[in-house]
Amino acid sequence: MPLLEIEDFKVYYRTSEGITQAVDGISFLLGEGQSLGLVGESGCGKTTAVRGIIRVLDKNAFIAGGKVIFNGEDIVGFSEDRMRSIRWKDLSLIPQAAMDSLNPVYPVVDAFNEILLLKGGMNLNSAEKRAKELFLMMGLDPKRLHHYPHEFSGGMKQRAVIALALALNPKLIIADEPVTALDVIVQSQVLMEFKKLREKLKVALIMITHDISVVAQTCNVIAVMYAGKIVEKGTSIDILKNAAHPYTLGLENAFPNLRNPNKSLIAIEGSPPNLVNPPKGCRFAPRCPFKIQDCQQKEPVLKEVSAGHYSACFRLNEIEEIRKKAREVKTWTTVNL
Amino acid sequence: MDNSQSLIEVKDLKKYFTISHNLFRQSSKKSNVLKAVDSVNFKIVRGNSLGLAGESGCGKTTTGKMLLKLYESNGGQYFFNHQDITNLCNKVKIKKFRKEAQLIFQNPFEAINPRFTVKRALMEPLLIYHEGNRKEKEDLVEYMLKKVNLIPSEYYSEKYPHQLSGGQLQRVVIARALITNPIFLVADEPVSMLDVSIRAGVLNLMKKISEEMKLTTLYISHDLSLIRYMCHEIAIMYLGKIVEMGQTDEVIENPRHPYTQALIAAVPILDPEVKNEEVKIKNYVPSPIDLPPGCIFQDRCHIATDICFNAEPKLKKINKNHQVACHVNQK
Repeated sequence: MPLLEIEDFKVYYRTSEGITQAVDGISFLLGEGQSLGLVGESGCGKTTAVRGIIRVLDKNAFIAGGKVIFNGEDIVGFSEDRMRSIRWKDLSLIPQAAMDSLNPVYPVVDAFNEILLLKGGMNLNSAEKRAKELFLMMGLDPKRLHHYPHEFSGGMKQRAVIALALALNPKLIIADEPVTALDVIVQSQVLMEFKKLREKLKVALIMITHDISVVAQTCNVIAVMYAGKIVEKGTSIDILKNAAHPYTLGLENAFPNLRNPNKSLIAIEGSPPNLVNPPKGCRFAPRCPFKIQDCQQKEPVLKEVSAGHYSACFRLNEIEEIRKKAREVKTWTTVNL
Repeated sequence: MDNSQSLIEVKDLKKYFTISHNLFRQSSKKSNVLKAVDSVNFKIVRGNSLGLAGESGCGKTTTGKMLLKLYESNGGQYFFNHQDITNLCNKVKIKKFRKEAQLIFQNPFEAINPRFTVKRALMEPLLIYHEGNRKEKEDLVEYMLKKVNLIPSEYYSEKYPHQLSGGQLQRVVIARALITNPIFLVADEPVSMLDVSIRAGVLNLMKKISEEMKLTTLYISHDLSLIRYMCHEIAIMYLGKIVEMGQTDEVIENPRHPYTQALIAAVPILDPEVKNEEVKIKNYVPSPIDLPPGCIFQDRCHIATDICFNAEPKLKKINKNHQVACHVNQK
């Protein structure tokens, strides 16, 4: 039985323009100890999706349907009280800009105490011991527990917040852009430590990022989101080496690669659709150089490309040719927007 | 590199900030000095681009601001087009300089007045610098909008910033910077606020226009892959100093400074089957106030020897296209 099973999950926002279909029917599985990278551009619904799973949504958002089966139970129906009893203990969230999520007027140790005392039912002594242990695990000096957040550097705050998320040994951690604000050296150190720790403690992970290269090194499974839908999912090797969706292929073209200087960057023309009135059919079709008539009328569903590798594209049977063409600049510059 | 070709040349350029720990007594005797930029030397050949890379707080933006004379330097010399403009104070000359040296901002969402239409925003520099009549100015706006691919230009010129996407806004920012026909351009993290699929378009546009207009550019970025894509030369900064500099391909393929090596090793590899090696350097970037003598990188370096704790390494040429400031790897 998988640890987390998301089925046709929908989260919408009420806005002045109408209902925004931010997350519109996504499904994925996550086994115990597995790691999933949720990749996509800003506004594609990746943050909304995970905030919907752990139910810390904005006031104007609501879950419009679907199931979130965590540990065998559908938690969509859970009351707020019940949700509160599983947050931190069973699943915890490292929010976006986690560095700013420590309260600046309390020393860092207070954040640990709050969780360990309130949620973990520990006393002050054992909480302090546990906090020290967590600091050491994340490569921080336990002496600094009593310091204030402003005395920490960005990387140290990030480590502290990761340590916090691990405090009560949850089964699943959701990390929303955990290294985005960090410098590249600190980023690689934090990722490396996080990865080792996760493997040691066998915690499952959902990592959200806009940067494919970050998940290439940390996650075994990748799901690519576009305009509220998962357009492709598979192992990281499937996605990065054998991408089977035009959007994923386009993303890879747009990425500068330090180790491959001869690659010329190709942009995907246009911009993501407005999700109040998403285009009929495939949501990527307006920007897609490979669209056919069907794409603008029917909605593609995820189909298996190879074992465990799914893509939502009508032209999967021609994927070899599409891959070849996707590498040419002229393919992308001649899109009729 | 022939001297006569360089448009930008800085010698021992410095920027120090005084930090007072006492909020109420600014001029307390014990004030600390933060050396944001400490004796940097470089040239940019006319028509070339230099990428300034390094982690946050290394002084790259401060350097860029000094080159635009938005900050006064505390020492050293700055030659622009062979003229020493370090202490330029003649108003007419400053105005001429400002027309020739322009800036592209990091965050396009904040760089344009929200109450201005695109056309009005592009008119602004022309009202200050351009002597032509209204028609000529309008034609120029239209021409620039076409140049940055905001077509049809009549459609975009009437839009307000909130009606445009990030990529379109950044094109407006680029158009505004180029409308005065500058010869030198500073781009401070020009695409870091944009999405990946949009980024490539803006980068390609900048590349194309710089070539067409024969612009000399300084790119400031923490992203080495971007610099490799955009720049002829690269300079790596650490704590206010340039530790390695040279032709981009040469420096990235054959890094000699342990800091550059770490920076490169830290860039995640896109291939899940090839694992990143662990970055060798330790600790964090120290506070730039009261640095110890010797090499600024000493306490994080895994190859430091005695000399590194005593003498400061200078940038030295190791071949025609490559300079490094490291005692151990200079040979």
